[in-house]
Parts: sequence; C-alpha cells; structure tokens
Amino acid sequence: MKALYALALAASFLFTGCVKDRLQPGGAYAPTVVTTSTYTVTNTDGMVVTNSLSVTNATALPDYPFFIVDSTFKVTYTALDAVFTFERENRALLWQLSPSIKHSLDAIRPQANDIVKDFGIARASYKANPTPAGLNTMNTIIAKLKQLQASAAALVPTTINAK
Amino acid sequence: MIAALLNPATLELIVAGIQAAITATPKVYAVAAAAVEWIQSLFAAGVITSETQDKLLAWVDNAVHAHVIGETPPAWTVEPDPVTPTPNQ
Repeated sequence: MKALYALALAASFLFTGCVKDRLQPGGAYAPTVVTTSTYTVTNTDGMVVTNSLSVTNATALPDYPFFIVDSTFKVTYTALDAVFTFERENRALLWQLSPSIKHSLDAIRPQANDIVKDFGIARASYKANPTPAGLNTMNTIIAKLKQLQASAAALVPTTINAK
Repeated sequence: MIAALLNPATLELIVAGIQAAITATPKVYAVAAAAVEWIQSLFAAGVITSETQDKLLAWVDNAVHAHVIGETPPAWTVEPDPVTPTPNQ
C-alpha cells in the first residue's frame, strides 16, 4: 500500500515538463473556434455560386500549466481517496489492529475536504481570469493536499493479517 | 535526474511498479487502476488528445464541485467509531 502511494506521488511529479506542445487543439486546455465565412461569386456564365470557407483558430494559447495542475490534482486526489476508501471498507479489521488508524485518518479527513474546497474556489477563479498568480495559488494548495496524502498513506498498514 | 525521470522507459518501469503494488491490494485496485490508465494515456502517441483533455476537465470539475457544495464523499467524512462488543462477564 505504501509503495503504491509512493509511486503515485512520484508519478505526480513526472508531469512537470512532460507535456510541452502535446495538447491537441480543440481540447479543453487548447480551445479553438471554427469560423465559417460564406461568400458568393458570380461566374462568367452569370451564375451566382455560394461558397463557404471554414477557418479554425485558437481562442487562446494552450494552457499547459493548467493541464498539469489538473493532472496533478487528479492523481493526488485519487491516491488520497484510495486511502480513505480502503480504511472505510476495511474498518472493522483495521479497528482490531489499532483504533488509532481511523482516529488519525479522521483528523486528516476534514483538512483534506477543506483543501479540496479551497482548490475548487481557486480553480474557478483561475478559469474566470487565468493569471500566473492563480496558477501559483492552485499549486500551493495541491502541495498541501500532497502532504496530507503522504501522511494518510503512512497510517495504513502494508499488510493485514486477519486474526 | 529529471531528464531520466522524463524518459518514457523510466515511466514504463514506474507504471509497472504501480501495477505490481496494485496486485497486493485488490480492494484498491479499481481506484488506483484508473490512475494508472490515466498516466499511460498521457504518454500514448505523444499527444494529449482533445478527448482526454475534456475528460480530465470534466473529472476535476465534478470532483471539486461535490466538495464545494457540501456533498462530501462518504469516505471523506468522519463517521462514528465501530461498536466493539462488550465481553460477557
């Protein structure tokens, strides 16, 4: 279990610098808009011909940092959720091992919830007005979530022997 | 060291390590497998497709929205301690 979360945490750091120039245009982090222009031409026979020309333009520069932020958040959240879920689904057995496992995670749960709320608020603010400061805020919040993830993972035993 | 970490071959080793760790915890497999699939999809074909981008944005939107509006997942809430049977005296 601890190895799993250590690897997930390491993988969350791999995303930095790995996705340059890899965002396909048209995706949520590289939005584009298709503009279609219609024009008419009168040919030499006097016939009026209507043609259309579609041009795809990016509405904004691809937001690689935001993609990385969301990717890192997803990995961190998933790993932390796995710890909470594992404890909840094996609560009776873990309680026999030590009640402090649940109690320690219970101390982390409200903190994790508050951090995710803060991230959601910061993220909404960034989506409305993308700024480097907004990215820094989200990264700072994710760093806190990672710390909780590491703490939570350390509380869960690597092996469980049923009595 | 960072360059070594960014090496696709290194990533494959890490993903394989994650998969090996997953086999030891079947209860957590379904959750962690999704993370592994996500990591692999990012490095397939060298391009993050628009579909993958859209899925990620929607996933994060849904995850944070639930917490922001107070619909905290049960695993993230503090629940009562298990009831320990009282031994017969």
